[in-house]
Amino acid sequence: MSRRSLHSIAWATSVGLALLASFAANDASAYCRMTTGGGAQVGEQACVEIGAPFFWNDPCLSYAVDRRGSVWMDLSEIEDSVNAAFETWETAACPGGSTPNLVFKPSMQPSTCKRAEFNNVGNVNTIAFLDPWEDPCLDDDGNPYDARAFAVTIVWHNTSTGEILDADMMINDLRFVPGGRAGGPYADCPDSGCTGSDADLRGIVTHEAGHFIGIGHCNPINKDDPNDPCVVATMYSQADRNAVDKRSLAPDDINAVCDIYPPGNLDRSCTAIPIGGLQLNCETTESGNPIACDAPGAASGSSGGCSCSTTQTPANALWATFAVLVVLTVTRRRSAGRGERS
Amino acid sequence: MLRFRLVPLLIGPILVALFCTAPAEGSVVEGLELEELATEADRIVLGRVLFSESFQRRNGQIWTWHRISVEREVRGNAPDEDEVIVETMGGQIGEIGMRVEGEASFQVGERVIVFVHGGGPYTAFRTVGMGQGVMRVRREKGVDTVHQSREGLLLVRRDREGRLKRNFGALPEPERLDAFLSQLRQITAQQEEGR
Repeated sequence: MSRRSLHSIAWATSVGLALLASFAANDASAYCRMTTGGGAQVGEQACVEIGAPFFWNDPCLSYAVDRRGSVWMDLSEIEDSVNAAFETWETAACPGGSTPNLVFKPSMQPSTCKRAEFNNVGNVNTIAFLDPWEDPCLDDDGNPYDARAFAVTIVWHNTSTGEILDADMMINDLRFVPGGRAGGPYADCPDSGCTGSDADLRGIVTHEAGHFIGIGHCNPINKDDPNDPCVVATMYSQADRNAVDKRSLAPDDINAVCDIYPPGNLDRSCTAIPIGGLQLNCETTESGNPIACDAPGAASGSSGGCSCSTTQTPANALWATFAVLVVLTVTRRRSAGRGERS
Repeated sequence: MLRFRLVPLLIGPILVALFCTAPAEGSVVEGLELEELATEADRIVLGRVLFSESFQRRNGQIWTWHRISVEREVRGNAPDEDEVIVETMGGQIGEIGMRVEGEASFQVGERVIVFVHGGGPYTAFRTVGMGQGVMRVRREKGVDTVHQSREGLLLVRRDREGRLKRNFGALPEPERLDAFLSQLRQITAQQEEGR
């Protein structure tokens, strides 16, 4: 084989592998998965997941709405909206007509838990409305949730495998102040769209439930195209919230949930028990005494201390690294060959 | 010589593959215009991320401190400080990670413009509007360009009637760093005059 051919092959191989590394995670779909590495999303770039993708190891999942509900809606109304939102994902029509291997089982009882935490000794995937908009166990020197946030989803996960351990959804129960802070009112809006200043709770929770199961925001090919598969998706990062279109899944959302949880044998008879057991009340003991914020077992699984982060290596960069090695090897061999000849 | 000239050419696309990564998740957050980001910021700083360190709070939650060396200050008056500490919710300690969707994120070594508030000499700052308060500076075709990270954010905005509308944030399209800083200085100067 001539040098020129070798050169061409090395070039084509490295470029090909580099492109593979860029788009392998994206395939033909626009959806992205949440990963342990996270990373900086800049511009409208293809999504490549850094680190291990998030997933529930046992996709028979429970959740519970905090019993204190919201100032804007009755507890039963909230539960109806939340149940409908999770059911939308559970009943997605995968190719072949089956549904994802995913079951959501709402708790028979509401939770008493406005704390976003993960314990060794019992957990609940809680959905709570907060006023004030802060963690009830906030330190004196801690910070509340961002005033501009309507809702945040907090996902506890295994940093090596990406297994989701617990997920909590916190919703800002304050009244919004124009130009000042986010918040309600929330409602289960009619199908024709929200009225007044209501925001559609079902739409919000459907979007957040996508994160709950490890789906990130999708990546539009052309964000100005109203028919772009991502722009029309529930997992797109923009929303007109007086509209109710986030309630139903677009094909890209369905691809995501069916790829991550391909149809399987799980059925509604499964038992949904959080890691460490179900503990609906994270604030008081059975005898009614408050559970201290720093109670043993709270939000740990670790021994405390600190972890210092540096840059992270994208998993898909392995392909690119391999490409570099191919190129360097070819170059070095050729240099060596030239050295011997000279 | 031809061979050695090819190496940088080959490394180019590989680096593109390495760094053009964009995982994304989401909290539902009010999109802020640039003027609003500036209004709510006690300090606006162009700098480089030196170090990130996660720690656990009393309630068990994991937070992370990020040390940012100050290269240029657009707002704020602390000539004796060459670093700011920014605190974000979430982080990793051993095998356990806590992710708050939409929270600001930093990569060690990257250049950023941060809009922060609430901190001081002995307390860490928070970014304004979660991830919206971080803009990343990337060198593209020899030009420093500013991008707003929308990682993890579902941006919406209430209009005058309180209805929620789609929002694209303070910097929908990338902009040259020098032009952006100039615009930012104008905004902050106007705001100072109005105070």
